[in-house]
Amino acid sequence: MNTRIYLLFSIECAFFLLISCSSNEESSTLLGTLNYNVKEVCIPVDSARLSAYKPFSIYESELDTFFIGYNKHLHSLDLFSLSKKNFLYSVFLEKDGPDAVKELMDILPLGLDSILVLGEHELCVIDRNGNKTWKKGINMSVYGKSFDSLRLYAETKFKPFIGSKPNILHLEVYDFLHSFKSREFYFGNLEARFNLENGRISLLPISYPKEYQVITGNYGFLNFPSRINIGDTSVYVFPVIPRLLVLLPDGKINEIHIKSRFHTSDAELLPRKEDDPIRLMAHMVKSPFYDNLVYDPYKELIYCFFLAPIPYKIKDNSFNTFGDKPLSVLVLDKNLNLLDEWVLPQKTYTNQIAFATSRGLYILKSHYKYQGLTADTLKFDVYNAIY
Amino acid sequence: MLYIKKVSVIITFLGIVACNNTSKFPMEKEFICYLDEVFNLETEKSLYIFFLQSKSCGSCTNSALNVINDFYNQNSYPYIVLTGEDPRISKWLAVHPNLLTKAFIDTTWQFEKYGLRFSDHCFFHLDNKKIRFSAWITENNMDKLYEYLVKENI
Repeated sequence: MNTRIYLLFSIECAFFLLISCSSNEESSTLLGTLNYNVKEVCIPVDSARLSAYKPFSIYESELDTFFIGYNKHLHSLDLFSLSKKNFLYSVFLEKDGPDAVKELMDILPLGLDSILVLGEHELCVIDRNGNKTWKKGINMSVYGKSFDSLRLYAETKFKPFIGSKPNILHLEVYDFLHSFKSREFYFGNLEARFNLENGRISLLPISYPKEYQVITGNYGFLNFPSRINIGDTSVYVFPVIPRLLVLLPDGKINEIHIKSRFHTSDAELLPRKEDDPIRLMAHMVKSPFYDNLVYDPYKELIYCFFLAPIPYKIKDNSFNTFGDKPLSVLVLDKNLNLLDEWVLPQKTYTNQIAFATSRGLYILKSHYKYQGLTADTLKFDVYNAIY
Repeated sequence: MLYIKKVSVIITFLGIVACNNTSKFPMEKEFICYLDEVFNLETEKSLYIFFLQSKSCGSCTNSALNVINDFYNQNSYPYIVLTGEDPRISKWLAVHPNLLTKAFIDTTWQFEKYGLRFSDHCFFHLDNKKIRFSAWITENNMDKLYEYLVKENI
């Protein structure tokens, strides 16, 4: 398997194997320092809609907050109203011709009638009829030099982002010249700036922390970071590392330690060329996993989901799997001080489909083992920190 | 002379151990138990099984389905065990109705309890409650897998 397939597989694994379920009423943290209440939001959907969307994005206007998700079966963008709790309409994307959208990786709504779409080789803006109103090819040329192995990327753990400069789009970037099993892969830049006017690409001075750059091994599938942006500052978390890397606008990097109280054992390094499908999966079960970050601009809180390490083998013919890992969420203030860690219920959430609005932290209830999963409802729990 | 004999015995022993180690599938016991207990398959008989992981990446699943397609035979097609619902594989099965009689879908995720969540699809040849042959269905393994399937006249 090549690196891109491993990347996709890592993301798929994480996407489908996430945890937790919850009481629907008032609750409070176990640590008791930051209380919250939680409410369930159910959006009825017809048979053409999905119970989980990836990629997705949020658009907030003065009137409403919209959830926009990619429906891969229909090749459409489905729009939902989060306040009215209903499905609104679909933007059908073309499959052929000049308006075709291929290899859709992520979306960034600039307005309801102008959604930025990132494909593998093109950025475009589509209107609500699915027509392209703007497009620009992605030519992997950095500082005038061509790098065919570089790929711009975006996904739920690393959303595209426009900062204070309206013509600069921030994306993740990987150099697929090297396999993710090789040490060199972990020295590459992680973030790129794409100039929407002239298509120029520049790389930001951020790469993997030193733990990933060791000679002796790698961390298997636990290798792709999550990122949020607060203004022009990027905040990164890496799956097995209990700290945040903060890339400041001037290029300096700060490190903030944020260890979960359920981080009871560190991840082991796998042999550099490990490709055994059993050991790779067991490694994911036994390792701590700092998963996706979510920024709440209304309460100025940062959420970091954490999947705790658990034993792989329980007894004969009885094993834990990734979907059994307990889920919690670390809650930090805007200065990245750890305020609390909320224990979330098991086998309910797909925590990578999480976002914050003025109502709180939404987490999609679509864990593959969730007993309440139904095809006719898009369900979220909304955690509202009392802060 | 005695020294040479001793060395010869040791080398032979190490050779046997090495051969056994390379052919032994680490989760053999669990896999056999799983097939016995969840699907009541007659694992004492000679069985060919494609063990497909749901929600794998598209490329991996296409590779597995290509292999099955290549060795699809009305008389002696292998069993297919699919770990959970997977729209792509279900769609493929729908257009191969003859295969449905030998296809098992683990809709309740029992395979995970037996430690059988892998990152790749796998082919097995079982015989007398032992795994006689196994191969991950990956690009690197295709030659080995095809060679075996041809040899077995599947």
